[in-house]
Amino acid sequence: MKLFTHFILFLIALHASYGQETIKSYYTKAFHCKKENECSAFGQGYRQDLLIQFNENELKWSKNIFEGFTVCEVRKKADHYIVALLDELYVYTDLTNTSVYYIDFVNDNYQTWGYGPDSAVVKSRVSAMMKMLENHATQKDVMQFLIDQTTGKN
Amino acid sequence: MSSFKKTTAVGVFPVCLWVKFRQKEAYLRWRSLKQGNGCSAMSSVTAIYWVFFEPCVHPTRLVFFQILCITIFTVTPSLGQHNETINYKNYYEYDQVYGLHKEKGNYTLVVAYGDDTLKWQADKKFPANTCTIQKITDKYIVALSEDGTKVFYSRSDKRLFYMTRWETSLTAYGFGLGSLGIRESVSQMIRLINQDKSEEEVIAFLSRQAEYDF
Repeated sequence: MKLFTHFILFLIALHASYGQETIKSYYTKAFHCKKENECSAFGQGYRQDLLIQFNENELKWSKNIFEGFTVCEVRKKADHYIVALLDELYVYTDLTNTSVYYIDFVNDNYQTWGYGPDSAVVKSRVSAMMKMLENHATQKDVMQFLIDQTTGKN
Repeated sequence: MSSFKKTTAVGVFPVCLWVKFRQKEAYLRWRSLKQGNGCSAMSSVTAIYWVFFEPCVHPTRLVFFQILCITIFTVTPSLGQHNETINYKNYYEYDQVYGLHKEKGNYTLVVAYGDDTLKWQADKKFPANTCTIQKITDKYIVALSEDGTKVFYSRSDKRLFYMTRWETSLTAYGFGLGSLGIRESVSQMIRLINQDKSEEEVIAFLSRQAEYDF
């Protein structure tokens, strides 16, 4: 009976993870921009896990093992990146740099966030995203900018 | 014309036809055709008979004729016609003078389009509009309304935008799915107009947004 239960649990786990990929990454510094010239780094000094799971329809990511996963709807998936949507706000995952960027909308203003192992890249992208949004680019324009960055068009 | 009125009209049509051809003259004509007088082109005459006269002289078959008429008249115009009904929670209007305004509620956007015409109604309580399609792609439709302003419908995002002039100021409207994306677009439309950009450039901006495949 115990063996049978284990077998069923194994099947359930297998089914849940079918077609799902997991990427383990980390960050020591994350970046957040409220305005173009108001960017800050946080999480200095220690390494934190960044976990990204995705399949064709769903992107789940967690920036902290003590926090749950943020679940987003995948809008476009390519070999090097994933564009996802969470409550009309875009989330971008760079699979080559294993980093995550997202846009937030607080008090009628956009904010940008970025997590990933390469702090310099994350910082410059989060800042560029904010600059674009302040210059009246749309979220989709920002996503296209990140795609171009990942695919080397920029 | 609403679908109910159309169906009623098409249903009444065969009855009128029946009353007309129920006349003796029509009956006699049918008899003479059936007896073979002047029936050199029998196949086409038979077809005409089956379509028009048979239901007239056999009232029980009128029902089938009615069903046939309703089917033909309702299916034929809808071939190549797309109808979309989008339920949405709020819409945005952005006036050059009065700024951005968000209207909350429960609305239904109805969009119907073929190759030439775009019909749309932002909600049941708003008037219906008919526009001439200027450009249609997989992602969007650009149409020209009767008052000469352009209407943009994003097929990918299920959003409709248009601009209209109230006295001296322009107002941009955005209806459809989502909230933030519509807000972004109407704000950008007015911003472009304030920068003395043309209506074509506004449409180009909306087209670019609709072209994104995410």
